[in-house]
Amino acid sequence: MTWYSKRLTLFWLVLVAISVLSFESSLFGSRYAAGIVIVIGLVKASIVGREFMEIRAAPLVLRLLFLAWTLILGGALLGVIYGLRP
Amino acid sequence: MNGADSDTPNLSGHVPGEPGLWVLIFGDLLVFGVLFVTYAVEFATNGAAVHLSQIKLDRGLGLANTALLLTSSWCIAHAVIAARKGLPQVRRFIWAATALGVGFVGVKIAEWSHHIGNGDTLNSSSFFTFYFMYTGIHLLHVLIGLGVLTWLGLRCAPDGRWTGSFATLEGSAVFWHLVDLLWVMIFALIYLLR
Repeated sequence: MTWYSKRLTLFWLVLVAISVLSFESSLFGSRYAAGIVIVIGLVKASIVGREFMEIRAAPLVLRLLFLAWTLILGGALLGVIYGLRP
Repeated sequence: MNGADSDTPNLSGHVPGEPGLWVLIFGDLLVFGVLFVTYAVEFATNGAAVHLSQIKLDRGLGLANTALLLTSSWCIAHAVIAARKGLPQVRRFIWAATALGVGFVGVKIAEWSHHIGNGDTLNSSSFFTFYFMYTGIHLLHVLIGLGVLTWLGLRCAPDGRWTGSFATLEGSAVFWHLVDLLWVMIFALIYLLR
């Protein structure tokens, strides 16, 4: 009897790898760096929600609400940063 | 029940935990969403001042805490899987998740002590107000989560199996993952965003 989930372990590895590999992405100095940091953060948050919180297998309304949160937050953060930054 | 992923296919349409819990989860996501956008406004309009304070943060400690919570999430997800399969590892996974969460609190205390020792407190700059407020509200979530995890660990059967309500175990796990999810965003915005 297998006691661990290959799928969750793979996503855990992906999350840790993204965290380590994207660690310096904010220091690149390009004007896209802020956007990259935000998008990577939201991608990680989506993986935690969909895979660990099992939203991907939940009813449609829950999946849509979570997707809406991710997209609206992402749009608002990027809009504020690229819209208001001098 | 022997495939590594036999825990997933039959979950279609399943609401983890109690449906009412998700009102709390989305309420929390909404509140934190507003907090995140508020910080983004400060970052965008007061960037130079934010930068002066932000460079004092130890990003490595933020990364370490990210790894601790992600791994803790993996552990509690496996406690749920073990419970569904009737395996005796449930308690072991719960205590592992708890220990990693305690590690997170330890790192956070060390971090806060360092900043407070350097004179950077809640009202020394707008950035540190955001920093202490956001990490403080999050830490409160961590402490509540650790209380719940401890309670779950103590409620396991003597052989380490879960014999209680599945909704309770799943719902607690969902809350603990939420704590992880919120930290991922705080790490990105407060520590990494330049």
